[in-house]
Amino acid sequence: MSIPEELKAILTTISPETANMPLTEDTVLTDDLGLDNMSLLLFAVSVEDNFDIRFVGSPEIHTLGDIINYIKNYSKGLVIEHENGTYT
Amino acid sequence: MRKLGNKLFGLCLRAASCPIIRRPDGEPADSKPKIYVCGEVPPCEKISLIRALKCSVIFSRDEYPDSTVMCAVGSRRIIAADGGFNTEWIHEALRRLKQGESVMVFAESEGYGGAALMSLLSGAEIVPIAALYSRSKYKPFRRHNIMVGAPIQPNGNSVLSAEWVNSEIRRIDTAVSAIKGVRS
Repeated sequence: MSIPEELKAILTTISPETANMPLTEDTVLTDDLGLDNMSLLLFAVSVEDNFDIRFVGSPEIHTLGDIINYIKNYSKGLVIEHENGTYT
Repeated sequence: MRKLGNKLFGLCLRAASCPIIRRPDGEPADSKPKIYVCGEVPPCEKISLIRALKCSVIFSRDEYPDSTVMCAVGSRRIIAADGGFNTEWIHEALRRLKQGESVMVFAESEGYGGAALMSLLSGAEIVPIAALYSRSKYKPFRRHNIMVGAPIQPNGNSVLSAEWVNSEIRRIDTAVSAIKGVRS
């Protein structure tokens, strides 16, 4: 299963009403899908669990494309924790 | 100067706040870490509750406590919860629960949904609590009673979904309201 397909499956579990919504990399999680703070937290925790990653610091994630990029960068080792506690 | 005043006030609160904890049927507390959930209470009561139950507390970044509360509670006990994709606070809370430390969530911080999620991920019980006092006779430095409700077992048979969280929030809210009813 590709990353977008897996994300769609997670989203459908968390919020079944998103099943029939068109999802693209530009889809905004809050405005387009109507996810509230709690749903975002559930989505983040589920993504971490499914892809074996961690959202570190305060990542700027607004769209599905942002998540896909984050997952790709994380698996390439491009998300690094620095000694002063910051992440890049 | 104002900061110093706040710190001194915080130290006074630390010394003064020493509530009486009442458990259902006088049951003794076990040593397992718990997730305490509490309805809305004044800041002084928050300090009393956190100190009396010797637990960490989750505050959302929006209502992060000022230096008075920080000093009275101890900054090490405070976990700052951010919205969006920052999940560090929940991992920090889970780490503390795993180490045997209890965690408290107030209704107005990340809400009961965060408590339900932590309970599912850690297996820790949710324990509703309330400070018993009459709003009209509220006195900040008086010793208050803290009522501890019956624990709510984690609902581990569910998948993470908005529907599951909402049902858990209702379950917790009912349990907290049931204790609130004791004082009236």
